[in-house]
Amino acid sequence: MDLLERYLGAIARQLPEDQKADVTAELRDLLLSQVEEAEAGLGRAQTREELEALLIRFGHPLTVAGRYRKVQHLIGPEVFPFWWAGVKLSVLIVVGLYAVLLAVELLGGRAEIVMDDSAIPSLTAALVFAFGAVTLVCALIERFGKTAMLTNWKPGELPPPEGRTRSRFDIIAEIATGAVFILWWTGVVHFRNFIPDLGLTIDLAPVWKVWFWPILGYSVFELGANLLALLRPGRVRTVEALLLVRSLVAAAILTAIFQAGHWLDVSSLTWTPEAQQVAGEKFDRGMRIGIGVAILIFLGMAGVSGWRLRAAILSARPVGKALAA
Amino acid sequence: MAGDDDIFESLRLELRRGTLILAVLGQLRVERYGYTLRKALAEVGIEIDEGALYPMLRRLESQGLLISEWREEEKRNKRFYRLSPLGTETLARLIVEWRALNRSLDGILEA
Repeated sequence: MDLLERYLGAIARQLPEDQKADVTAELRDLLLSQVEEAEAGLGRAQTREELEALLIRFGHPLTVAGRYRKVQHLIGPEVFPFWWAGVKLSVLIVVGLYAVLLAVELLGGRAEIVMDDSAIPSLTAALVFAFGAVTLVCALIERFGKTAMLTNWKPGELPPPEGRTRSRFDIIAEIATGAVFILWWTGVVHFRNFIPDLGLTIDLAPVWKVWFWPILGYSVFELGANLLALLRPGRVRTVEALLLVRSLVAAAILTAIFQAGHWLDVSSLTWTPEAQQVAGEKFDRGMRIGIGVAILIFLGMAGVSGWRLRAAILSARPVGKALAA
Repeated sequence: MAGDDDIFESLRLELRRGTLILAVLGQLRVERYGYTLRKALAEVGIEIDEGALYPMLRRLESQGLLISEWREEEKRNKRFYRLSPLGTETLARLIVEWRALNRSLDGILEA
């Protein structure tokens, strides 16, 4: 019977303190009843091998103890579809972020965390982290019975048919680019060797410092608007209104910056002052074209958003009237 | 790919799972301890794994449907279970539900 006590002890170790004595006493009685019944049938005492076989049939101690646990699963069938969607989405965002970083590396740069000059975590580490974070959030929702947070929904918030809004790919690409930009703009990461070594040092002109906070505010706003567009694609009017606002704000900020006329400071220890000036003028000319084009793009985006917003408002007529029309 | 027998077995288990609670509550109109309860169920053709039975008894007790009591019998302490007043009332409602479901299913299956 030493084997039986060891088995019950192994089960007891997995049980909550307040259930240990009670559950093991009941299981002991059940197992002894089975042993007695088997012995009555055999007309002799059970061998150790027969007792082992009985315990194996009864189940692994972890399995037996697990059945008494209140929580039987980490993520149940109700939360599972949301967990799966969350994992897919987080993987897409992480891969998008790393695609932007890879693009930078292909251009010769190398992203580093400024705080300790360490390398950016590997894609695998980031994916494992994203998987763990989504799983943890879903497990907590499951554990605390807050599934209604996920399952309550309104048919009116379903996304419109395909082709009438931005694609998920576009939104994820914007999120990834925006996140990398914010990390760079706030100095969390920097890019080494991004520009080929021409013996020149290129820094942002003072105008960018003046506009540091508005640009950061705009970038955070853009990230939030894109996340909303990704997670709540059915809120067409809100999403389009935010896109309209941010496109206009971006155009306004860039227009103000455009007025400065000088955007990059060029210096060199090896180049003559005249050569530096010529190079600086060329860089500024490039920036002038770049900023000008960006302003036009943002204005175009604002126009498209305005048109989509108008269409969304018009299509929000009552269903009966829409059908009758 | 699962074979026909595997599919049938999984569907059979799913079908039986929901009825086990009704069977257990029905048997506990008379006081029993776990081992005799399992034997009583087996005698009427309802096999239940003890690994599922004992946690189920605890859950039903924590829901207030069963009352349990430790008592010595055959020189050993045993935990006896029986229906609580709430359990009796719930069983009566479940029986009504079961019979209605049975009638509906019979109507479908015998058509």
